Amino acid sequence: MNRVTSTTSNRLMLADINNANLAMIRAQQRLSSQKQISKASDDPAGSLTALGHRATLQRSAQFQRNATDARSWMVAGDTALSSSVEEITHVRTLVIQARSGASDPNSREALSAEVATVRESLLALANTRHLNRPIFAGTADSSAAFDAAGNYLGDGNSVTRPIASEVSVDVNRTGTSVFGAYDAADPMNGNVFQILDAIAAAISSGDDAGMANGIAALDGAMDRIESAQVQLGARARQVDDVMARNEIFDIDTKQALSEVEDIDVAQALIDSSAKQFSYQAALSTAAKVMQISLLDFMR
Amino acid sequence: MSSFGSLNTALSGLLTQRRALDTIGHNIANTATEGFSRRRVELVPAGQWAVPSLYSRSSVSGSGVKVAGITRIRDELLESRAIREHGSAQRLGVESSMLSRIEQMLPEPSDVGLSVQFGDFYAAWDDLANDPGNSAGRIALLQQARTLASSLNRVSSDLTNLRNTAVNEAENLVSQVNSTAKQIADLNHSIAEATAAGLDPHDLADRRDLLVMDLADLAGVTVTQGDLGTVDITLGGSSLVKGSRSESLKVAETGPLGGSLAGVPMNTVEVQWNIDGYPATISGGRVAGLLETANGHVPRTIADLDSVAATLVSSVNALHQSGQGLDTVADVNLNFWDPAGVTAASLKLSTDVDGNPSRIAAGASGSGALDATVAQKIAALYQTNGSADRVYADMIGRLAIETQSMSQRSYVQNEVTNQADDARISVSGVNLDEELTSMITAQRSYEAASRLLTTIDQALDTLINRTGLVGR
Repeated sequence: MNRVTSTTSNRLMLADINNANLAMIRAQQRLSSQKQISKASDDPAGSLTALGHRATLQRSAQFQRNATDARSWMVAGDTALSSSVEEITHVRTLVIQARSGASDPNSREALSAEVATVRESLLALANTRHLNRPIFAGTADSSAAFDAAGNYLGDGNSVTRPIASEVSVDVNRTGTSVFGAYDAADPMNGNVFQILDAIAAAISSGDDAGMANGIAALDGAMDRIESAQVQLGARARQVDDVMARNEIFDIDTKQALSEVEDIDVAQALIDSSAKQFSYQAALSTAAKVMQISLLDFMR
Repeated sequence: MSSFGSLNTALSGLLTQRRALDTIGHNIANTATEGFSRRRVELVPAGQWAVPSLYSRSSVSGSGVKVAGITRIRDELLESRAIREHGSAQRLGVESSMLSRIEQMLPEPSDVGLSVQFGDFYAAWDDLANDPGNSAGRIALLQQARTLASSLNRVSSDLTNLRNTAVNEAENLVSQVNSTAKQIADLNHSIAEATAAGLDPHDLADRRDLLVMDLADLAGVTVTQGDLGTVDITLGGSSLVKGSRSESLKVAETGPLGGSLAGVPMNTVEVQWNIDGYPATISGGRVAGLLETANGHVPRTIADLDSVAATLVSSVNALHQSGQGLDTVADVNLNFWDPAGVTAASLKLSTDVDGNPSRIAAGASGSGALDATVAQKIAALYQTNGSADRVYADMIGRLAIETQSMSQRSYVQNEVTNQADDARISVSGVNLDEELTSMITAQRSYEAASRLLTTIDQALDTLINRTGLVGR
């Protein structure tokens, strides 16, 4: 520029002051919002990464909720199965007692009645509900897994919970796999309620062979329940592992998100001070330079 | 030379320097006037014979000074460059600010944007799957779906409103273009008459050139110099102002948008010549920015949002149709989203499930009523390739890149325009130091000329009053 006019110098000065002001405001905005990216166009690539991380965190939070739900299903199942094992052990003791000494019909009736009571509590255990839903009934919408006669009302489907990306876990055991399938022809080969009915009848009638068969059948039923419990336990372990992994993954993702989105506070503070200083410098220079003119030196 | 010739020489100096001081005063008074080009008095020595001949000659070296004219100092090359840069700067400025407004409608990444609502929507399916028999989860899902749909509806209608605003604004600006063109034509007329009469219509020319710059800001025109100090203005090769005549423009809607935007129910907006209805080529200025917003940026964003909505409807409905509601016999083959609403503006729940939470098909067909594998599959759509939320994220990415690059282009163009303005103002603007220096020069010349007058007066006094007094 070969000529400097008053308008030119004013324009240049004003443009510099405005630029310095804008830079200062931007720096302060970053500092007050604590975000490097306040809108997507600030950093398109970073924004997409941030969007991805945020979605991952949202999905991960849902996986944790699913896993928590899976845990409570398993705890409910495990409790019911432990109690069932205790009940069956108790029946086994009663049968042995009946076989060894109780020849007296009255005591046999008493023992038989006790077996019937145990059957009721076992039935209640088999109909254990979680969130108002029988946990051993599969996916069927029935009020109970077994009716009073011991018929299975549920279905054979698994209840699953997705607990991580591509990881889904079965949280239930179906009633038939735990308590046995109904066998109309041979009750001793049927489900645990049929077995208990048969045992109660055998004790009542003093049928020793029947009682001996009953003990064998009880052992089989116990094996089934215990193996179901082991399986649930193994899956619960898996859920715990995945939840722990999810938490670590969450922390890593949050860290990555923070690196993309958040400011380095120290850096931003220094930046803001520098911008403020350059704004002040621009203002004070303008105030001094703009006053000077040939008029100051003319008389 | 006659005895009194020098008096005239001194007088010419006095008169001319007064004229110079007047002009300097005019310049100083207009230091801050926008569009003012400084004036300069062109001085030429007076008195020498133009064509020396045998008998009419003089030994005089000259008879003073005279004003040849007053020049308006500006560089037409720099002016026309500034006019060009102004058109581009205004266009990019409008496009950049419109894109930022579109971006503000889709605030990402944030805790309130659509992407979070997508996450909440898919999460609601998983929550339903965790307790499919409970109506609370189903009602929550429907509510979440309605929120998502109404957000997409709202953004779509906001975008349509933005487009309407842009079209209205373009109409206002085009009528401004018309009135400015008319004023320029009128001023051209006055300037031509004054110039023909031998006057210097500099103030009129300044006013006209200011209007030309306004016109460049509005519609990015091209300017050529005409006869008798007038300017001609063309727009895309056709004449907008020719001497004292001006044409007028109008904004009109033509057929529906074509190409990749054919699905967006909007008409192309263009500027036409009033006289014959032919489209006017407007490639610069704010009008061009608004047209690009109305025909490009907004419809493109709507088309992107529509494809997000269409993906959402088709992906969710396909799974939903494969499932069953709580009534495993009656609640089969149902839609979740209204299959007719495949645009962002029309997205809504289907009548199958709206108000009937129990009919949401969470379970796979043929399994128990409390099965929830379909709900889990829908929840698992989140973040998979080609899912609605990914399509949305891609769209945000495209919009962000477009906004960023437009804002950078606009910034650069502003710098270029400022430089062009600085360059032309450095020629045409007033420098006070320079004017004050000229003022001192003129003042001294004036003083010297009046001293010359006194000197000649004294010399003549000697001749008239003191000569021939010998022996008196």
